[in-house]
Amino acid sequence: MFTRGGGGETAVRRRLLLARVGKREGRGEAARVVLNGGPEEATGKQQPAGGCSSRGWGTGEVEAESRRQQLLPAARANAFVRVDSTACESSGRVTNLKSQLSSLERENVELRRQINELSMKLQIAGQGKDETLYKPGPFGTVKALRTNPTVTPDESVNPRLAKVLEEVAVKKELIVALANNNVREMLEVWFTNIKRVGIPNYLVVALDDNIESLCKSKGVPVYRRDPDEGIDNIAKTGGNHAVSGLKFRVLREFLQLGYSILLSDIDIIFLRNPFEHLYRDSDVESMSDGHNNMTAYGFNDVFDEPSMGWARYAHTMRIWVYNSGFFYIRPTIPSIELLDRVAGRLSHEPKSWDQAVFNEELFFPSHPGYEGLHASRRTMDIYLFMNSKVLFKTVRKDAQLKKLKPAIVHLNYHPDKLKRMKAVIEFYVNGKQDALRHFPDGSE
Amino acid sequence: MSGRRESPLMRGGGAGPPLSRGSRIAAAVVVGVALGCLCAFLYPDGLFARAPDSAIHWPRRAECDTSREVAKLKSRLVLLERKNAEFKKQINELSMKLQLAGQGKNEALYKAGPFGTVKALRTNPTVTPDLSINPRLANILEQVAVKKELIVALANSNVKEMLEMWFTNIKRAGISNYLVVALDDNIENFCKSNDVPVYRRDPDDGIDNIGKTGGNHAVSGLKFRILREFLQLGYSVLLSDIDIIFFQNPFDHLYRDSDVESMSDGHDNMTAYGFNDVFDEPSMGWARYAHTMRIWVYNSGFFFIRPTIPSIELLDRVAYRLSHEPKSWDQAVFNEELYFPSYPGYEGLHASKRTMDIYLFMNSKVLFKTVRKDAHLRKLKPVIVHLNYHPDKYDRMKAVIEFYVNGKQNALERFTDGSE
Repeated sequence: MFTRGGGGETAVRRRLLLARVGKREGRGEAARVVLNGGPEEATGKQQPAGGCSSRGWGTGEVEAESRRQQLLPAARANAFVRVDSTACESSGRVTNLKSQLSSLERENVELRRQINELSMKLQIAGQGKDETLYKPGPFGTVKALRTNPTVTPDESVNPRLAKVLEEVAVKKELIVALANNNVREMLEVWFTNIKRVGIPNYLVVALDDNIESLCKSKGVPVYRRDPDEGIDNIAKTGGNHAVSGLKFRVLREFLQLGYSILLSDIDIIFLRNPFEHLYRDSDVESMSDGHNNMTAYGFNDVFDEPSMGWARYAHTMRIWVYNSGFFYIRPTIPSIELLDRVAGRLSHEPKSWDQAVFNEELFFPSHPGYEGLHASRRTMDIYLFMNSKVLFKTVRKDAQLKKLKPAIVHLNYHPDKLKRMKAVIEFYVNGKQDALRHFPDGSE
Repeated sequence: MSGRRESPLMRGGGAGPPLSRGSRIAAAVVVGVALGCLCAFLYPDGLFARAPDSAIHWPRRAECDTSREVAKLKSRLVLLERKNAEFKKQINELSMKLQLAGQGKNEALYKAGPFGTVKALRTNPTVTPDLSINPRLANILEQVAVKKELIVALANSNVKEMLEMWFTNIKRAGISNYLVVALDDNIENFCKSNDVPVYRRDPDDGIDNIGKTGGNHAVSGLKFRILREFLQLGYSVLLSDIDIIFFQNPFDHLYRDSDVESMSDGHDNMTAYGFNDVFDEPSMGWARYAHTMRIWVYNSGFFFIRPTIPSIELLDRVAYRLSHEPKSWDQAVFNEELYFPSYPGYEGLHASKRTMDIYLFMNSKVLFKTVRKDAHLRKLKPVIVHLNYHPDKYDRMKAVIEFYVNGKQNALERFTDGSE
């Protein structure tokens, strides 16, 4: 099962990003801390039930003492160590030493954390210069900046939108969806569930009058852009791919105003508040189209070419694409550049699919004739942010996985979305255990 | 807790009827016991922090089993102490610098411009050099490097022949900034006698064992530990394997805009630079096609690494994983750390990457499967050729020199595409 993230961003962030040392709170349980430095990683509890082994580095475990510590200050411990030991020691001494050791180890971890924090800040302060402002520390203490700084908000970009966002957003973040009349029914299911979960910060960008009135009549926060021929033509009449491409042009303003956006498709059911499960440590945090740990989080897909003989096996890095229908994007420079790049390519390559372009810009390194984007990315947990292939091929058939309650379910892999959405609600909300039974794995 | 409350017993005389001596004594005892209970409750481990030295004064029987454990624990303590002191110094340094820099903000210092004008930082700033970590190496690098960059190779006696070919060609191409990190005496002397810049590390048990006797994979893993110092000294390193022929000066062909710029194991544009490898699962019907991002790995035998924070973190990560996962291959780990985004339980590295041109920095599969058979591609002169895909490296290296340097057009003909 998953740990429910604590209340706000801070609590979640602390628990997931920083190795929590138990001693200061006086709790005696063994804490899973990062001993050898390097990036603090989420604790083992965050692993999906599929049992993917953590490939993070620098894990270690420190057994926290359960009794109240009478901690020796470091100076005294020094004096102690220099005392010549007599040939035989009592076991009481051993216990003493062990407790000193564990308190030193805790101090060690805390110091590493401080070093990381300070070096992050220095990296931010030194951005734009050719040289960093400091020397890197010893092995295992170096940590690069991953969480890029946010842009300075620029309200002049769209004062009307700025006002709307100020009222709707919570902690400068919100869910955003684009909708035209083609998806009216699904939109109703979409916002009904959001309301049921109790999520207040969401917004529908209405692409036509119909949707705008629907939202207003149902008390759904809605925003209508100023008329813009290019966008409006596609918006009113476009099929789902065309409208999907629009989002990259529409979202830019949101980011420029300094808001983080959780972009959501309409064929998504919300079962928990997704904001309690975000790490917020990358430019883009997105759900995957993958169906297991390997495909979702990346793996070494070995390519076999027998005719090469000795070197028949070529190693390749492979990962299933991010779903451009559900991602969390922070208002940073790389994020805005990403949106610009995708929007630019979509308008110049008429047969392109926005999801493919979105991923290519995120994944390909620079090569001759192309400059890579270099934005930081995080893949969302596939059992929390569940795509419908994972649900129908795996989860609904597994006794343990069935008990998980995901944060969202995205019906991306199936054409009969509305039907399946309703069945998903029956299953997860109303507890009807056989609600998902009569659907095939795929579409036939 | 009668001791706490003020009672007539506590106050000096005068307040009540005079008590008999017996009751006074009894009262004193009760007060004393009560105070003792109070202290025991509040300070279960003793009123004063006990110096452990006091344990020495306890009467003792001979319990010698624990003395070894104690010795071990003590040495660990000393180590941790030293580390913590180092960390504290580092923290002080960093906080002072931060204050000078005016406290890192979470916000960028400017607003984003209009469509198409935004460009994120890809070329990370280089670290401040720290000469104190290895003054001897700093001296050597100062003499050998050109514009703070140089070629570096690791070699032990197993590859002596190929090493000779390696530096002969480097000299022929007119490259002056290169260095051999000799892993044993043989190679060190060999380099000195051939006037090749060489560096011998200070003895280090861990590294030296692998260095002297290790096979190519083990030695290959060493480079990630050795290179760190080079980066800390502020030098960009073009790490080179020994089975590489240089034809042109590689430094004329580098972009230097990423943390890591590496040659690819791919054999064409798609595999080398990345492509959308569509996965077909017919049973899914409407959604049978799943898109995937796929790219052939970077070759960890030839890459240019800039002295930035992400680069150093990369080296640390790879070195750490190699030492903790005994069956791992350094090239695989190197690539995984570079490619995989963060996911639950793992924090991604996020270094910027550039793939070198596969016809300029050519791997042997490209050469033998494609280039030598194509009339146009044959005329290209690569910057380097890396004989990574074939086991008979020495033979092929000689043939490659015959072909590209001496112009013998049929020099490559007798070789198979692969190894059979």
